[in-house]
Amino acid sequence: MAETRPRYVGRSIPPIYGQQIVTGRARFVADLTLPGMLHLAVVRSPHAHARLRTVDLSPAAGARGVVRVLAGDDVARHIEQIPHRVDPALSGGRHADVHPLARRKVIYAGQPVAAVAAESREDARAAAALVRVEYEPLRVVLDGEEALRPDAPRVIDAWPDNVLHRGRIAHGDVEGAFRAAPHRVHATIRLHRYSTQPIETRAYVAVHSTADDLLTLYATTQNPHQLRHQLAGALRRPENRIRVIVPNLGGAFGLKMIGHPEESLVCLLAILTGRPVKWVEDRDECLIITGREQVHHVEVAFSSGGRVSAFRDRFVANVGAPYATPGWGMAPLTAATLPCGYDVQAVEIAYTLAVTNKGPWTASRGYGKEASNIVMERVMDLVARALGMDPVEVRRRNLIPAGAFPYRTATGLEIDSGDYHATLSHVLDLGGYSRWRAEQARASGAGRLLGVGIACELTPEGGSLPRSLVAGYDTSTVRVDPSGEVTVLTGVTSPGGGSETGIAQVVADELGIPVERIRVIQGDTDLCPYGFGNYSGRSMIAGGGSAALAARDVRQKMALVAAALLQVAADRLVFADARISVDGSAERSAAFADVAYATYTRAYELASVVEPPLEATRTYRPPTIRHTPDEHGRLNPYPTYSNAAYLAVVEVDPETAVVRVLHLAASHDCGVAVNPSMIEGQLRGAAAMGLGAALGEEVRYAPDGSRLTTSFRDYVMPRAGDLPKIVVGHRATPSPNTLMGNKGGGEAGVGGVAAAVMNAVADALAPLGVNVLELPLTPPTLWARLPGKPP
Amino acid sequence: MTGLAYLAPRTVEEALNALGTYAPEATVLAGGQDVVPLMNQGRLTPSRLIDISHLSPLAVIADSGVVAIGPLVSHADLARHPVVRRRVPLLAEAAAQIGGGIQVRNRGTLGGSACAANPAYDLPVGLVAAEAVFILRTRRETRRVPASSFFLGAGHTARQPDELLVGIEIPPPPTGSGAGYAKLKFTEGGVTIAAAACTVTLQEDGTCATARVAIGGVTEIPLRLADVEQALAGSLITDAVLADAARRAQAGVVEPINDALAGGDYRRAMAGVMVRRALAHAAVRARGGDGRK
Repeated sequence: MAETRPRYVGRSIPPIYGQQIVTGRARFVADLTLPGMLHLAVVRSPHAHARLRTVDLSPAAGARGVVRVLAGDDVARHIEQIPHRVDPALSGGRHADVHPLARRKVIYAGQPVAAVAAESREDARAAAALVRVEYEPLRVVLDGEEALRPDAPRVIDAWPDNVLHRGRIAHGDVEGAFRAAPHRVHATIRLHRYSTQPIETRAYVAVHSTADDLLTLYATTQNPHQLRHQLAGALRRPENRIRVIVPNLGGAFGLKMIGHPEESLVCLLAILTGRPVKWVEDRDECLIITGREQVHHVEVAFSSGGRVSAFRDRFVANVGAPYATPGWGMAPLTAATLPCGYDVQAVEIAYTLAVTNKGPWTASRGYGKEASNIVMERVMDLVARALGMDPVEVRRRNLIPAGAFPYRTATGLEIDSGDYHATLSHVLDLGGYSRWRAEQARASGAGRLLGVGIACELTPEGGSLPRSLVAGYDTSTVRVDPSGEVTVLTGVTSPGGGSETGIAQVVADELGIPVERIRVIQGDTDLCPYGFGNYSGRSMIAGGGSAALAARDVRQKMALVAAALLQVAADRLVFADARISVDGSAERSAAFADVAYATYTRAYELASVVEPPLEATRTYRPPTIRHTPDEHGRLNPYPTYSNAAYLAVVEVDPETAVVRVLHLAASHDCGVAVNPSMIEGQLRGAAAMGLGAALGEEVRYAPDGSRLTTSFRDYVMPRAGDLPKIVVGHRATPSPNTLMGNKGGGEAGVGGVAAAVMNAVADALAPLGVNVLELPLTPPTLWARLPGKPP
Repeated sequence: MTGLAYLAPRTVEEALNALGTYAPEATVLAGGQDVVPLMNQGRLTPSRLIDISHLSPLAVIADSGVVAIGPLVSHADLARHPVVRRRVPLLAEAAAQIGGGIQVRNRGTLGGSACAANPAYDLPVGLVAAEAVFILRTRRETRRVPASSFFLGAGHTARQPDELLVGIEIPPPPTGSGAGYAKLKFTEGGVTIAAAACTVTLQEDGTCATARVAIGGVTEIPLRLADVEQALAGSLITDAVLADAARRAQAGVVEPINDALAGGDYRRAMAGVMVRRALAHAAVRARGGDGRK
């Protein structure tokens, strides 16, 4: 068969659409203005838990510019409920009906209660303020563990308790290991509620064309095809009469997964009014939907040498009010990912997902796996401290040995490959571990609180959930037109991370053409093959894989035509530099474009050996995902597993308790990197997110359940100047389980960096006798725990 | 934004007339760093905006013994203007630390910051410590209000709706003085949690002749700390004296702000820490150093 010479894969070329973005020419949903367009404003409940007595729309209905107003009962005539992206009931949990607008009662502050469509955004907002809602406030429940008490207020009236889902994973002789172990530690680790906050908030524009009854939704979404399916279910209309288009996205991080009420609201209003309807979320609204908040009661058994023999975790995840996006699914994956990259086969994990009157969870980068890493890395440091050992040494005694892959974890994950010991050693060198330890000793003599933190990280990627439209496979079409230009249509999307560039690099190499000749089209359900969008670091695994397969099929056709043209056996042809040549010789070659043209124009003679057009559609389905339980009832929802290790150095101001991160280093192994600089960009962004999660980002509530965090004033994200220089190193252990040996690079860093910073702060405060088991480490919370404060 | 009228008077007199006619429904617009975000959030809904941003007589800095600074002088100009840096360095330093980026410092004005009276702003506390005098005019009369009685509450000042702030006068501290401004925020662009502004004047023998100390961000209005000032007068600025000043500063905090970012206890304690740090810087500068570690 013909061969190609790789030229792009592995190179850090700039993003193919980067110039559009940096010059401000790229267009986003919020930029879209259509003739006759209306604007939606959503009336939201100020109460976290209340009966809805009356919703009086009349003052708003008569206000300036108002075209249509809706309350929950109006919407219910058209939309019975929003189908869940992944229904908890499918895996033994409970189903909650989720409506676009509340009916009978509200269960979180910010829940949509009424909708107003008007001629302008200002008119819509002014009218929304006129809607009169009579609430009868109910007792709220805000804490996950309190929600599980028998006397707790019930979030869903029809449920016997506040449990959305629960599960237990047990493997090995946990009891025996604890009995036999000379040491054990137990701790309660509390992870807080946070959010992802992309620069671009959510936005939707819906258009209903009566001529052909086509509903078009321009959406900030990660999953256009599944949104189409979900809207078909919600609006009870044929799926093929809905088109979802995703323009550029300004970040997503899980927030833009599907199931949000505003998606179906703009569609319904567009159908009812016959006019386009637009909604753009503001920052306050963007802070309603959250992620993570869980309490882990962990216990480990270990030897005097620091070898962990058993791990136990009982945790409660406070998933907030039930919601149709797949946020709740994070907590079971926290359980499945434990005990991360450590060789511990006696494991018992029990988890409960409690519903409360806090804002709902949606998917948040890391998708629960970041929590596993934070918990496990904190535990490893607790073991080190209990034994007076170096935390690095404790990790070395427990990490899965490099020779043990493929390695089936106690929870059933089938880890494909890696060298965790090498990754750890790499980051110690990169970050200057021994140098910083010496610096720490010097600083300690001067009364400074310097801390060094280490964290390893396991990031399962490319995941697929059984019996759901969360798939591990995806599909791409590669099309060569008669002039030899190439269009790639793919089912994966890009939230701004640049999968289009990686896919173009892969296809350029397969076809031996410059990347500039490739156009990649994503995010249009009428144009692209059925696909699943972006999540779980999958875009280059499944999207890149399927594009490579499709390009190979096209190349095979072109090789047959070129073979006829050049009168040579196809297997002697080389695709390079936009030419197809015999053994790479310029004398006996044809231009790529000429062969393409010949394929279309000489279909009855020279090119009759192939079937026109020059187009192929292929699916790549990573082979090792296992949705049938093994003998212990365990699944393997991921094809491949990235790993990383981090070193953080912090200094805590003993007076203000402000934590300054002095240094951060990462060694990252996500297998073959198609575009290393873009992978590195992902990691740096994730590191900033992890640092923010550890030190400040938190969505907080008043005791009555109203939200205290309403803007970037209160949601304390790190700014560029707050970040240290981040030293990033790459290792590449190819995955045997993916087409290109890549492992997914979109999520690593959030949990690992949060854990490294947490461990570093704990290390800094250890001389004061302060233990650190809770996030976030904001100055006031840390300060309250510092000893020796004046009364 | 229904029925919003925009006025752009060409002279100060026209502005005063407009204010006299349309107060209290009118809002004065200068650099727009406070008014515009509030309008965007729907927390301020004026029926008239009187835009004074182009009234150049209000953007002048003059030094005739007393330093007179026009209300339209931007934060960026305050931070770099040679007269401000030399004669009232406290204000230059406070202005340089205003967060939100150079765009905010280029647009935001001294007068706007003062009249907004947001507890988290940097300039009000600096103005109180610097013993500034605010010159307020209506179309009929002019009055002078000392900073100590200008700030009345969060977002609330002694300025009447028909009055325009036309100038701020600051008596420069005598030679042998040093200024210090210390503030605590949690991120580069974060809001002020606690801030302290001070000027320390030392005698030849190193003892403190006078000190002016104020804290901001901790309570609804900037607080002048007379107790701290009196304790410093006549003392050598030693670590023990600074620690005592910090304790007195904390004791002077009544009803600290308690919000989602930081509780009252923390803010009160940080007032002490910031006072100590600002005084330490100021003392070094008064001795001729630059005050930086």
